[in-house]
Amino acid sequence: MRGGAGARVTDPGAVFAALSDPTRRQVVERLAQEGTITATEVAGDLPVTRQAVAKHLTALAEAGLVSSTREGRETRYRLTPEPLGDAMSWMAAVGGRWDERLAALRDHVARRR
Amino acid sequence: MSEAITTRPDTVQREVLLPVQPEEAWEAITDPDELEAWFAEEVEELDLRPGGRAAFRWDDGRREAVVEEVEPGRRLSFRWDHGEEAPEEAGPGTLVEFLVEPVTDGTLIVVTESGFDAAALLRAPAWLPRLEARCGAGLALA
Repeated sequence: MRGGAGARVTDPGAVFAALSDPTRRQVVERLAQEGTITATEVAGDLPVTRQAVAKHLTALAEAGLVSSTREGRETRYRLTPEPLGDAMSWMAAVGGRWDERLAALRDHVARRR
Repeated sequence: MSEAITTRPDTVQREVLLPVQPEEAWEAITDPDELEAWFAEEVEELDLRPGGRAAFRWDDGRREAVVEEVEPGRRLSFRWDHGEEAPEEAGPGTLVEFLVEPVTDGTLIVVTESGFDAAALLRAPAWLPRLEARCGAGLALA
C-alpha cells in the first residue's frame, strides 16, 4: 500500500477530491482528534461499515493526507496534513483577497452615495 | 482547521452588505468604470454575455476571463485564469460567481470562487500564494 512514512504524494490532484466527501471529512476529523486510528475504530463511531471506512482511508492515503503502518492484522493510520496545509493556505490567501476586494467595493459604494 | 474542512474544500465564499438597491449593486459589479474603482486598475474588456471575454489589469498583473452566466441584476459568473505569468502547471482557472440578493437593509453580494486545482497547487505550492498576492492585491490597501 502506498502512503507509508515519508512517501511522496503520488496523486496530488486527489487532495480536494478526497476531501469533497462528507464521510471522508469526518474520518479526517477523527484522525485529527485521535492521532492514529484503524478502520475498525472509526467504523465503531460512524454509521458506516468497516469496509467503507477502509476505502475512505485508502483514498486519503492516495491523496497523501494519511500514512499507514501495519499493526498485526490491522492497518493503523495517521494524518499527514502537509498537502492539506498547502491547500488551506492557498484557500486562505484567496479568501483574504476577496475580503480586501469586497471591503473596497463597500467603500466605493459608500463614497458614491 | 476542523471548521475549514467541514465546508466544501475547493470553494471560497465571501459576502458583503451594500446599503443600496440591487440595481445599484449590480452596476457596481458590472460597469467597467465602477469596477475600476474597486476591483481592477483597468477593465480592458468586459463582454457581459455567456462566452464573452473579459480582461482585468492591475499594476502588477493581468487576468483574462470568460463569462459563463449572466442573469441581469441577479447573477454573474466568469472563469478566470491565473494570470499571464502563471506557469502551465498552474492548471485551469477558477470560477467566480457574484450573486446579488435583496435584503432588508440593502443588497447582499455573495462571491463564490471555486474549482481550485489541488494538483496545480502541489506541483507549484510556493508559487500560487505569490500569484494571489500579486494579481488583484493592494487596491484596498493602496
